[in-house]
Amino acid sequence: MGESGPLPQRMKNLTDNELMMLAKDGSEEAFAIIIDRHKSGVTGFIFRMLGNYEDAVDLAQESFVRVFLAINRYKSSHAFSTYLYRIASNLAISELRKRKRRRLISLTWVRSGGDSMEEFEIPLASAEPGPEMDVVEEERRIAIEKAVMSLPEKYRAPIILRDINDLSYEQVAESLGLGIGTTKSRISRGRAVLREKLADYITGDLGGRHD
Amino acid sequence: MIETEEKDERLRELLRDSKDFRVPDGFVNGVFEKAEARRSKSFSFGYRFGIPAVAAMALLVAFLGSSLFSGNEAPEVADKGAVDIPNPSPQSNPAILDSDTLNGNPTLKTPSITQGTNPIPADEETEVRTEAVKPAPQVRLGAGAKSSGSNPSVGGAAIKPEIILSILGVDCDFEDNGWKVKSVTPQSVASKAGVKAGDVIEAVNDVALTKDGVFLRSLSVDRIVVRRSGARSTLRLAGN
Repeated sequence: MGESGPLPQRMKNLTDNELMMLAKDGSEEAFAIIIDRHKSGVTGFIFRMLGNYEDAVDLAQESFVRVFLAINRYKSSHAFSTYLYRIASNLAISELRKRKRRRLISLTWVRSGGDSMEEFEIPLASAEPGPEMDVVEEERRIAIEKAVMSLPEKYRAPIILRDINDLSYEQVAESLGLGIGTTKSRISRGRAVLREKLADYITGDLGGRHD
Repeated sequence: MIETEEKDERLRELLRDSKDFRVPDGFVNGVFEKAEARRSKSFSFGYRFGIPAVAAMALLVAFLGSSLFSGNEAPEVADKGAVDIPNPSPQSNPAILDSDTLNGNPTLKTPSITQGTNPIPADEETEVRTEAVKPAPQVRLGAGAKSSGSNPSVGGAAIKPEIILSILGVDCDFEDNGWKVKSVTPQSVASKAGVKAGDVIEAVNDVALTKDGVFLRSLSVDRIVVRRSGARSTLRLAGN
């Protein structure tokens, strides 16, 4: 393909698979759009799995690198996001196992109630929060992140992919290599845990925190 | 009271709101840079021809190297009791062939070392054990290394002496038809087996450790033969 010049605006309207086909033909611009489209979701997914921002960015980039280097083997018979999240989840789970082996994982604050933020830092939603940043909203966002990260790993991955990254049940199942029944069951249980942890936000009692 | 479905819907809204996740500037370029670095690193023989092909070729080269080294004459190891050291010269190393020299220390059991196919009967075998033998300890030369069978012309590998001595944890010079130990690394395999400075390492797995190395049928070492004050001993290796 090898288009030169400014990125055609219409390329941004193409589907993932169409962009992948262009990328397969040598268009780095097409792959750059793919990355741009999914970088936030993949990085967020890995971060919520690992609880470490630098590792999440690194593994998210690694996910795209793997897709890019194996682009000639890509088949468009499945949704691209399934393919991408399968790689990302494998990397995240592999990293978690490595950490367990090294006994470096430390999510004790989560298990002990989660009041302490010493163990890891939840990045700000915006790169430049600014003085107008809604403190209440930020507090709620952090509470949600903490609640999600407190889930057991087997519930966490499907919940993130389904309810945050908006994949279908089938895509979640395929990304995680699970059966559809197992996937639904885990999501349901994960939601039940989150309903309890985020009860105040769900019922609307916390527009802001009651003092 | 809010119903579960409604709560779920509200929960999903909350979760969806947290979807946006900040990524650092330069994320996209970082991906291409990493990909390029990976590609240039692996754009080698392996990348072009495939890792399995390269691995197969490496094995082939290693095998050919082994065959050349051994001159297609891998030494036979006697079935039981005897230590077979290939090509020792009786003139240059009479001690190896002279089993009477092994009788100097009656308190030690020492192995008889013979040339060629002349195994010593089991009841005549004497062997020194300087350390309690632990069950099946072995020092493997390379992860997952395996011998391919009992036929020495098929399995095995030529190992340089430096590699073996380094794994054992000894610093040696080749003299007096063996590797004279200058020093032993503390806590090393050799140290645990009882090797001391001044010992002369003559054989590994009952095969002579010459100046050029040794051809091993199995890529694991579980015993070495050392000469100390004229007496020869087999030391069992306890691993690390």
